[in-house]
Amino acid sequence: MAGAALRRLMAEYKQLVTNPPEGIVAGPVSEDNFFEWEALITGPEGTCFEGGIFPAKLVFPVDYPLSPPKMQFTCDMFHPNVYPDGRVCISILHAPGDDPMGYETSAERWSPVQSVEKILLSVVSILAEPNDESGANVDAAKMWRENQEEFKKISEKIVRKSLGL
Amino acid sequence: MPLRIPYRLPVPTLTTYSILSTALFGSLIYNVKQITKNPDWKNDLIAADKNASDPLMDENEDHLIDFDNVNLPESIRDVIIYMIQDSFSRWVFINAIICTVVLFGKSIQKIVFGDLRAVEINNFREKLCNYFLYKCIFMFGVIKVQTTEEVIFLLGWFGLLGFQQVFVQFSKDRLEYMVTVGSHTTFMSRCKIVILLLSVFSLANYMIYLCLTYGVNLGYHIFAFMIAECLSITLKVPHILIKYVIDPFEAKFIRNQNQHFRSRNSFANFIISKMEMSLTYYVSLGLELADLCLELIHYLHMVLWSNSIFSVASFVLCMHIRYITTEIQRKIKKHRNYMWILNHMEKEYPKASEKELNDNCDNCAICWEKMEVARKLPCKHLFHTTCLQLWLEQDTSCPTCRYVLNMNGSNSRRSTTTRTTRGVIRIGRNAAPINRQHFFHFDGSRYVSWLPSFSVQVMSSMTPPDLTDSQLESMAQQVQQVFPHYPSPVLIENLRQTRSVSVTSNNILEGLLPLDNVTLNDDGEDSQVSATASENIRPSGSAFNHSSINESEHDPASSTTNFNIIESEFSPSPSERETALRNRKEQLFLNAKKKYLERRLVN
Ligand SMILES: [Zn+2]
Ligand SMILES: [Zn+2]
Repeated sequence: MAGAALRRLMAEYKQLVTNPPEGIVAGPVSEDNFFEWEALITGPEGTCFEGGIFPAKLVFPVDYPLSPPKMQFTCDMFHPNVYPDGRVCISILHAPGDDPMGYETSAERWSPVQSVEKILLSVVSILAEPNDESGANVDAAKMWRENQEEFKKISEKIVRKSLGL
Repeated sequence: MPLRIPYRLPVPTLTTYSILSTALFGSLIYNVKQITKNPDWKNDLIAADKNASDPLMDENEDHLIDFDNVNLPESIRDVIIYMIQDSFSRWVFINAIICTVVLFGKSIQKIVFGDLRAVEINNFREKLCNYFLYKCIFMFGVIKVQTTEEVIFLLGWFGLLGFQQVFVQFSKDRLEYMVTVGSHTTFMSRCKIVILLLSVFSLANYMIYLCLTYGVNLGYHIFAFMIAECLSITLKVPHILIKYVIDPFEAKFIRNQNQHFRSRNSFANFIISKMEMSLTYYVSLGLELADLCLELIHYLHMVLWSNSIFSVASFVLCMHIRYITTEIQRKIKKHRNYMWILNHMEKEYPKASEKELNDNCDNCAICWEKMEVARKLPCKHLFHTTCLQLWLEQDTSCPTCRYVLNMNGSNSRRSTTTRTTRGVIRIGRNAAPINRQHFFHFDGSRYVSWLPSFSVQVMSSMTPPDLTDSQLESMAQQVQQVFPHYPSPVLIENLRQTRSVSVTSNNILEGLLPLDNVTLNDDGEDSQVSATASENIRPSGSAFNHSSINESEHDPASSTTNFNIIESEFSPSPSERETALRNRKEQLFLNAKKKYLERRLVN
């Protein structure tokens, strides 16, 4: 099982290198361990997070791609769908079996046809447009709804910090 | 019920804790020494004891007698006796013991596991907090301990069990990690963990023995409470051993494959994974279910015994019971579905014909490898038999389109919602789904005598069969004659959704087909294209994206620095790959920084 996971991860890595999606770089933290990746995600243009480079850690299970990886931002992140500790809460990262929020249909859940690239692209899309349904960070969700100006200020700070400026 | 705990708990680090404990203990000993220098201390203490009417009185006298027999220097003996009798110093003494035990545990962890990984630390924290919470509820909410003596006894008992649980958890995490990453594991480290697990196992067995011999005297309820946890450990350990240690074959295979990156499911691999699958599957299912049932009984017992249904403690316990029952139900349902599908695999999902395989030309969506033999689901999607089987163990739907393969009516409701709701990214086709109804008649007794027979109506919505790639290509060529500036991958993508040349042409005319939707609007089908296949398609598409964005949104001055399309090769050497990855990361950073500063200047 783990062998299959390794081959699949290798194939995904290869695809990410040969056809990199714009603004995304991802690969294993070390070649000895293909089950832990680091990804850099560029904040999408025209959004609060524009221009920032956000590093995130992806941890893959042994039975990948049958089970989804876990993703966690390793930088500061203030976003309705990201827990304060950086864990990303999007539906496609949830296994079809478990339903921590209790409202998702299985269509939005993990399936083996998902890939690292798709996960990262969907993370980019929630950076642009937070998903109201999952309130991983209640403060951020509230601010996003009620006080866009303040949210902008905070995200601007995060962007600057992520660039080391 | 697993709790989400805050990431940073205000728990002091182990070093501070042990330093504080040592300091406290040291100063206590010094104090006691000072007190016991006074020859009258014993009489004072006994007088104080009598006034306080300590329930431990008898106990203490026993200790006095005990210590008389022990050959210790007078002064040390006095210190120990004093400390056992004075209540404050007794707690300090216990704290010191706990500290020693924790340090002992830590050293075992250091010896066996070395440094812990972040995941392991996280799991450990979660586990520890849950364990602590439930044990507190048990001690103060269920049993309602009264005397310090009981508290100490329970602390000791649960502490010991807690240690075993923690080590079992560590071993599990570490073995899982070792199985996945063959290269790091030495035989020794594996051995150490197995030895640890075995000693935990025998300790748990010894505790069961203790329960059986002494626990029964304490009453059957207490006995049941005490034995449950030990039994759970004795179930967990074999589970872990079977899952991660008994199949070292597998690990060897992984290592070989790691070196060669073999791209094909070899026959031997297939057989082994099949054998391992059924063995591991059944054993782990059985042990998991047994463990869950045990837990269920344990908690039910607690609630019933505690006699106060309307307390906070029982509320938490009931929540946990709910969690366990749903977990059990889920496991059983999954298993039944799986069995049904396994039995029906041959009949319902036929092997794809030679022609279908050739037409398909995609790889298996699960492992991204080439398919020589494949199975076809009713939704026309093809997968390797083993891949499909492994996925169906987990979820009984088509990985690509979520078409629900089910024997159970209750789940089929899901399929109607699956098509209409879209995820965060738009996965799935935009073509209108067609509702279809299936009638399933399931005659269970035909397969196993105790299975029920029933017929259910399954509502499912599915898209009409996919067009083959060659058809799509010819359609794309037609569109391209009219709109030559659209690259064919974009057209094929849209055609896959629209299934019609005229609709796609209309989309283009109405501006509904932006050029940059190639990357975002991937549907399942597209991304399973193998690395090699997509090499031909994607670069042209993405290059097109970049240029179009540059022209439309930015002035030429800044656009030159914006996008450095890094056309990199996938090097076969790990070290080169590592360097290339590092370079690409740096480049991304630099570009982003430059761009950010430029934008700041403009504003
Ligand atoms: Zn496959
Ligand atoms: Zn399908």
